[in-house]
Amino acid sequence: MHSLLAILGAAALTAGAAPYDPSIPFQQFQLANGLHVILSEDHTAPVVGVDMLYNVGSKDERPGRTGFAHLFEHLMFEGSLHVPKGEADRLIEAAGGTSNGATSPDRTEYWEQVPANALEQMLYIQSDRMGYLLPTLDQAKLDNQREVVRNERRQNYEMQPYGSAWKVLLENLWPPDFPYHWEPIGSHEDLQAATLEDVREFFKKWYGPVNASLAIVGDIDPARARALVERWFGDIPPSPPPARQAPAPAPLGAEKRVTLEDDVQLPRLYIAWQSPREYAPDDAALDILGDILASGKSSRLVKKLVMEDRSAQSVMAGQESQALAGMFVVVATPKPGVTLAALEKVIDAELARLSREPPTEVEVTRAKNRIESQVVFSLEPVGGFGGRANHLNSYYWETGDPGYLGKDLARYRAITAADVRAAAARWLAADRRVVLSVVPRAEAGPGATRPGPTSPPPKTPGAPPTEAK
Amino acid sequence: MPTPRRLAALACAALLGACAAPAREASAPAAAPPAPQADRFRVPELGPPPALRVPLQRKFALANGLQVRLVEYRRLPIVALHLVLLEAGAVRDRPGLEGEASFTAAMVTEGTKKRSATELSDELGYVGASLSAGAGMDAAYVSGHCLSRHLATLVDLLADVTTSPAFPPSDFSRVQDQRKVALLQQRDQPGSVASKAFGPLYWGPHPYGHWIMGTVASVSAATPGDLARFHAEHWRPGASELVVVGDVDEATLRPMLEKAFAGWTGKEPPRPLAAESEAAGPRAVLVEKAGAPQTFLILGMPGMARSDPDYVPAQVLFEVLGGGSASRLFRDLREEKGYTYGLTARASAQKLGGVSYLGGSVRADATGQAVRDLLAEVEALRDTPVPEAELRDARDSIALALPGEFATAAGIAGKLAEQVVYGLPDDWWSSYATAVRSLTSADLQRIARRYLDPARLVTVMVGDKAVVAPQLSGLPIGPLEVRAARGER
Repeated sequence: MHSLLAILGAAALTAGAAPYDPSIPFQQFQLANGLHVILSEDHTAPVVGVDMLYNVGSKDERPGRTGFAHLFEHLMFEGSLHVPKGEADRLIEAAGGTSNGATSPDRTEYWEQVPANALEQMLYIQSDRMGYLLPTLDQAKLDNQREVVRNERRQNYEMQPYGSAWKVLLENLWPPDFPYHWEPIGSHEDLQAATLEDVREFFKKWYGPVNASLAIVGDIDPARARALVERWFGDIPPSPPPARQAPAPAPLGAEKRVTLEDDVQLPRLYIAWQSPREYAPDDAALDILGDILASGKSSRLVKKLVMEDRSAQSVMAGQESQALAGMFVVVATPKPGVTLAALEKVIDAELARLSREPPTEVEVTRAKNRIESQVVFSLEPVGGFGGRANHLNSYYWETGDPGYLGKDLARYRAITAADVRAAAARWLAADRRVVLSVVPRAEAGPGATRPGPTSPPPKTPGAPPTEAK
Repeated sequence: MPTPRRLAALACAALLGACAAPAREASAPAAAPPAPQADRFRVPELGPPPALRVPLQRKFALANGLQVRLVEYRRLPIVALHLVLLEAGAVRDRPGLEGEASFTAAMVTEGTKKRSATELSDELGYVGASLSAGAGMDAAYVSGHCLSRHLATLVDLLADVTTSPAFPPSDFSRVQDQRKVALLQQRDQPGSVASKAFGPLYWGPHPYGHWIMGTVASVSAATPGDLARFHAEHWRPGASELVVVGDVDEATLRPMLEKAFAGWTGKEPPRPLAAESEAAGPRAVLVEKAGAPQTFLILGMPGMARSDPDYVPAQVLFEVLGGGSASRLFRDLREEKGYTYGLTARASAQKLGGVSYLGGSVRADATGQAVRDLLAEVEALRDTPVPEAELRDARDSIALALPGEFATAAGIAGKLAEQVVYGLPDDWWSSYATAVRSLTSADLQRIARRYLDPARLVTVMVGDKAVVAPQLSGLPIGPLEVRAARGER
């Protein structure tokens, strides 16, 4: 998770040549129906990135229908009134392009990256989904994609070591009624329960133009691109802005300790805290703290656990910032024969020290420089996950300003060693966190029967039904 | 390995985090000339596709013989470096020391004669640069990227790890232990378990048959001296080539490289290596994974080397079969039948040979039917010519994607590295696009009959024996061997 954090934000404090200030030039406008459009020219290569972001994610689901935003995302690829099932994929690939979609707790993204001559086809496909999805959406499509998503769940969670750990962590970190309590993938039971009526309601509530933004980046003529957007999206009727909940989580009142058995060779320790939401005070400081703890061989925890004691196979740490709340997580895997308790002791000692004494200037500067250069590298592709189009679109929903990059960098540049210490002291308290131990399933001895699946972790009453691995 | 699409991007949450809904005023709108209203019953025309412009490669050699190829690409102030060590791949592993090529590559960044492992990491981190080394079957590599203002630092570090790794005993034992533990952890990964079983089964004694990281036993057997010797014999400027792409010109780069690589010498080592191996097939292995809700499948048949002229038509054939989301496997086994999140097919072609692969994860209770359907897709391509429209789409999806693959410094470096590893001429990519677009259905059928040969099928499955084994009776996959979950390796 750490590598994903670093993409936001930067600073340039190295000696020598003047720092480079990355920015993405852009224009923006809004259609009468409320669709927000962001255009950015870059003629280096004859390709275009198209990114549509709907401001809805798994945080907008309700208990009993977890996994629905992501299941719905799959249905957006199943054809619309004028584009039969399979035709969009065929057009995109035959044009030499690629496409994909993703659902996060906060938002849902649909992108294509294509040769510049295929821009209009992409707007045709994306606009038909937005305007004309429901007429051809039937039970067969829902049943098929429900199966596909359940296969995705099996492949990427149930067949993976530690694949249920994150789910258990979230269930313990957030109260049952707080919408980060569950993962975007949802549970088999809830996916089974989803009906066509749910699909229709979800579309009507969340998929109107007012709740979406479209970014087009690359080898375009902005005036022509605007005309094409007007042509294909202009006839989609306006929609009311969806009423949305933005609850604040109840803080943890104590340390919670949880154990989960899994089919793994080695145990693994997860420690998680509730932390500030994105752009809130201390968010950037905690990003830098994550780097200081576990990026590079002389980071605090890697140095102690991996390089010196050699008691850990790996260690990661980082701030996961999101719209409603953040979480700070430390994950460590011991070497065979080392206990999780031994790792926890070292981690606790290091966190306690960082809560008392600020990190060194060198540590802070190294973290900032690493973050800065990762931002510049991330600006290479025009489209795709995390490409330029997605940057502009994400900043738009997060801050209201697609061009927020410069201000985001400024957040990181302003962080001092004292800020990092204060953030550690404020947020990473030992008595308000979740400590999850994933341990190898008990081995069946000779003549013994294999134990059945272990019971799921303790659940608070009222929690959504969940699948034990 | 299958490429899943449409992930639930839980881990991507950090990219999409947010605060309150933004204000919706627009600023600086572009001018909008009137446009005709959309006719949704007509797919918009594509217009002429952009031409493929393969960037100019400037080539020069350093005084020590190291070949360099440079592409100036000045869109962002970044530079990508990729050093290919042509004779240091895992095919050079000695018997009993399997994994030594990859272990050697892993150790070069763990301490040099001038810098400790921590100092290397700190210097890189301080300038926000990355540097890593590794080995594949055919070659080893050292690659990194940085902001262009830090290029001198990265060149210095890259040359230091390449030319003077120290293999310090204490760091050696740390990394040795980590590699043994990583091998242990691979038992938890169905894809790794399947690949480890497939290699020896398909390749036999051929050097491609062993696992690149080796085994717990072979990693334990290695000494710092073994790796130092491997490095001295195989990491040589005369058998290496450096690819540089980004915001730098030859006048700046060349003196930096001459200075940094000055002490590195050595000619190309002797390189006889030609192993023939034919899969005897058909045969099948089921590795047990009790309680698994899915079965991980690999179906392999004899393929071709990268230099084979059949490589080009095979790329198009495998695009039709299982390339992307418009392919037959995706449409049939996922979008119609719902057996899988994703199945793919590809012609994996390396220096000394290749494999025709089909594979991915399928629902445990649909394993037998999925294998039957995969074999039916294979038979269909052997028996029936690919229809003209489907052929055209597959050709275009490859040829027209090339401009996008040359759109980033990292993408260009990857394409150039492929040229270097497989000895492809500079005009390879433009010739490739032309060749792809001239293929006929008859070409594809000839390739299908040769490289999709079910009589020589090797099948590996990782799944729940109790659920899967009964579904396999009557399938033409040859004798089935069931293996316990915990084999050595």
